[in-house]
Amino acid sequence: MKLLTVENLEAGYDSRPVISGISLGLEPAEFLAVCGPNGSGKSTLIKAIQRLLPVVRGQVLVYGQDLFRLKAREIAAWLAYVPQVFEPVFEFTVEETVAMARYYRRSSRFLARSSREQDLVIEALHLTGVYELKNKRLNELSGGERQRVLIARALAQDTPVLLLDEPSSHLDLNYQLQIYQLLKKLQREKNKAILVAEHNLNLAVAYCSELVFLKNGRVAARGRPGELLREELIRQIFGVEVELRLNRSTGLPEISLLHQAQRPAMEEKAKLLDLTVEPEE
Amino acid sequence: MSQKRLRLLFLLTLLVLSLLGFCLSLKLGPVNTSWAELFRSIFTGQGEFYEIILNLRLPRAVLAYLVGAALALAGAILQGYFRNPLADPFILGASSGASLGAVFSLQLGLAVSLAGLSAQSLIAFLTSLVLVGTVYLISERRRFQTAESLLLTGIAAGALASALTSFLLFRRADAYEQAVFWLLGSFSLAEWRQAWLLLAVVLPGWLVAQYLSRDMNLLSLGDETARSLGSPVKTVRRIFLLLATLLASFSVSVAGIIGFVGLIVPHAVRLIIGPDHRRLFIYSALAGGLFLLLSDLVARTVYSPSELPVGVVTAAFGAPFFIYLLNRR
Repeated sequence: MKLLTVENLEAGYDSRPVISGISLGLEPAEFLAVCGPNGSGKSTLIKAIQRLLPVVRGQVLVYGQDLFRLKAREIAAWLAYVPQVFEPVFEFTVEETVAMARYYRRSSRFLARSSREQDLVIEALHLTGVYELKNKRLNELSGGERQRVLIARALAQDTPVLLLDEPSSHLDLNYQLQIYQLLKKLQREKNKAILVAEHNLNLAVAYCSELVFLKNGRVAARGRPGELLREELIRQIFGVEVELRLNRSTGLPEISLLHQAQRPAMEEKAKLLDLTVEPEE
Repeated sequence: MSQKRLRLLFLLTLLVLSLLGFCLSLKLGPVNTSWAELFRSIFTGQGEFYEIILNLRLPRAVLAYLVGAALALAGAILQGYFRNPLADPFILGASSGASLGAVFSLQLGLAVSLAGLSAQSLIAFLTSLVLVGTVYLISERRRFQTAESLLLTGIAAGALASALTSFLLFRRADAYEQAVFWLLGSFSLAEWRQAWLLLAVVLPGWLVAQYLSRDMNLLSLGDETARSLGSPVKTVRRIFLLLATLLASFSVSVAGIIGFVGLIVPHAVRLIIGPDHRRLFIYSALAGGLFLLLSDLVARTVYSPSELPVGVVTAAFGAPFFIYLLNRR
């Protein structure tokens, strides 16, 4: 039985679904990236798995158990979520923010934080390299630091599954690598099952064990990165001409952008508007 | 100074000043007593001032303290609820609803009372609840209720109620003087029964808020994150909204609209002890009580023998302090 099974998931913000017919599975120590154009439903999928959206149909199972029948605090024992970086309103410190992961993971809200609780928080701070920042306020940090704090909070939640919504956005090259190396380490050393929504294909290819491409809210392709990534596929999904080269050190394909493909949609629109002008006699 | 020592110092300051505030409230007034006489009548239960102290000044001081605590607690709850440090207890229309009910019942001239609440208080309380309830139901009809839609509906409904209040006052100008009590707030009619009533609201209200204070911390991260961290967000939001509404409505119905307490007290307390709601709720309640106790003391002494509306004092002290706080950083 798989750790996480998503079956025929359909979800959206109102009666029109943003994603539909999505099925996928995740095993411990598996690292899956969901890729696709803007608006293809990557973030929606990450949220729908946790039933964070007003309309969600289909099934999400953890070891065969229906996740949607569980209470929020029970779901929090299975899934940890790293949202996109946001501007904090109240000025909590880094350590306070990370410790919030333990609120609903403790046996009682009246007992003081045990040393094991404290250890989990400290370990998460160390793993993500933000321990030195622990007394700083969240709004004093850079985007990259904030992103790592959010990952630290998800780690402190101590769950088998990590869900991340575009963890590389807002980050420079250095931080992008740091975050993905950290995720890789968690996958290998802590057996975490990781699902990321990622728009940076080169990062996804280099670090993930499997890719799923979404287009218009449906799965368009899936497979191992080395086998799946083809120029034809990128053209179909993103509508751009690219050249794939093999990275000399990893042997994995990398994308170099050439130009935009002719968009059939644009031509059809032009036809509808009847923009073709008859030559005058 | 470490955070812990700072908090302890702040707590001690609040308690000492509150004690001092209560002593001054018992001593000062149109009938003057000396400190010796004051303590003699407190400890012996006799003396010519005993009645005045026990049945006029003490209930008034207790009521002012409790209303201050209720307003500051409601403000702290709503600022967390809306993730906006500029929210106040009256933002959803509790005050406009109450004053509409109060002015309306003044014009009807009803003379019933229940549990220490006059007809005006009762009707003010009910109209306040009805207005906030309506605001909530209207904004909940939207499938994806947001804090913003609730906030805007509240502001609009409050404006409508204020317009109706103004219309009633315009039609019957003779009721204006009595209405000022509601519009600016006063403790001049304080009785023990009102104080007990408010205690019965504030104490359980604070306990519930304290129990859910971790959830309020999670809410400040955003609803989705709060839920993914295990908080039953919908239920928590409903309870907090109900709490804040009850605290604000009861306060307004016994003392009228006292502005600024619910806005600046939680805000100032947050600047001193940090944003953690597990401490913010209790510290705000204590600081709010102290602030209103002292404000009422000023309101009834500076212009003696006549009284200023206490809302004038809270705004006169609160507004400059608030502007200072905002521009300090």
